Amino acid sequence: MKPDFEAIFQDLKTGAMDLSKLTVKQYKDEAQADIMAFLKDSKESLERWTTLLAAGELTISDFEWLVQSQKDLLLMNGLKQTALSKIRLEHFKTSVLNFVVDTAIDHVAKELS
Amino acid sequence: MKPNACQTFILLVSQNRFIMKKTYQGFRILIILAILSGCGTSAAFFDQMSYKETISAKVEALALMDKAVDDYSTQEAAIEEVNLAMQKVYEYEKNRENNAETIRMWEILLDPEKNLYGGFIKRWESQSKLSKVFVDEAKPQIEKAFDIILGLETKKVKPEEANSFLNNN
Repeated sequence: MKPDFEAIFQDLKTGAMDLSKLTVKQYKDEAQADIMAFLKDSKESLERWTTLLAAGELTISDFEWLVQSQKDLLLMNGLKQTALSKIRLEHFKTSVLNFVVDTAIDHVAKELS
Repeated sequence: MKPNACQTFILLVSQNRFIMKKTYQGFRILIILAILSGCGTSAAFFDQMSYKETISAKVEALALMDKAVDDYSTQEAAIEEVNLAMQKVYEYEKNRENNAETIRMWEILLDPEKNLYGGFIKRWESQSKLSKVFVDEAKPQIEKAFDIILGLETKKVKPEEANSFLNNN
C-alpha cells in the first residue's frame, strides 16, 4: 500500500507554517529588544558626553570622536542582526528537517501497522 | 502540486517497507544526511577558541587603553603586543567558514579610520597622550564592540547541538 502523499504533504505544510511563524516572532522580539537596548544606551551616552562637553572636560574633537564611535557600534549591531537572522534560519531549517522526517516516518509507520 | 526533490526522496524511501522494517534507525539517518547535504549551511558554528581569544584580546585592549594617559612613545612595545594579539584573532576569524559578519566586525574594530580600537590607537599616536575623561568614555565603546562580537559568537549553533540533532534521529 502506498503512503498517502497528499496527507503527508498537508501535515508538512501546516507544521512548516507554524514553525515559520514561531521563528519569525522569536527573531522579531529579540531584534527589537536589541535595538531598544542600543537606543537607550545611545541616549544615555550622548547626554553624558554633551554634559562633559559643556563642562569643558571633553573637547569638541573628543565629543565628535565618541559620537562617531557610537555610529560604528550601530554598524556592528546591524551586522550582528544580519548574522542572527542567518543563525535563526539555520535553526528553522533544522526544525523543518526534523519535522519532515518525523511526519514521513509517522505516516509510513501507520501504513505498516 | 508536484513534489520537490526532498519530498520525492522521502516518498520513494518511505515506500520501501523492507528497509523500514530492517534498518529503521539507519533509514532516518540516511534521510537526514541526504537532506542536510543538499541544503548546506549559511552560518558559522560556535568556536570555543574564537570566544576565548576574543575575551583575551578584549581584556588586553581595555588594559592598554588605560595607558593612553601616558605618552604614546613610552608605550609602543605594549601597543605592538596588543595589536599583534588582535591581528591574530582577526586572522583566525578570516579562516572560519560562513563568518562574514564577524570578520567585518573585526575590520571595523581594527580600522584606524573608524572610531573604535584602531581609531583610538591612531588618535593616541597623533595626540601623544589622551585625557583621562576621554579614555574613560572611549573604553566602554570598545568594550561594547567586543561584546557585540562575543554576543554573536555565543548565539552561533554549538557543534554539540548539531551532533545531538543527528544522534536523536
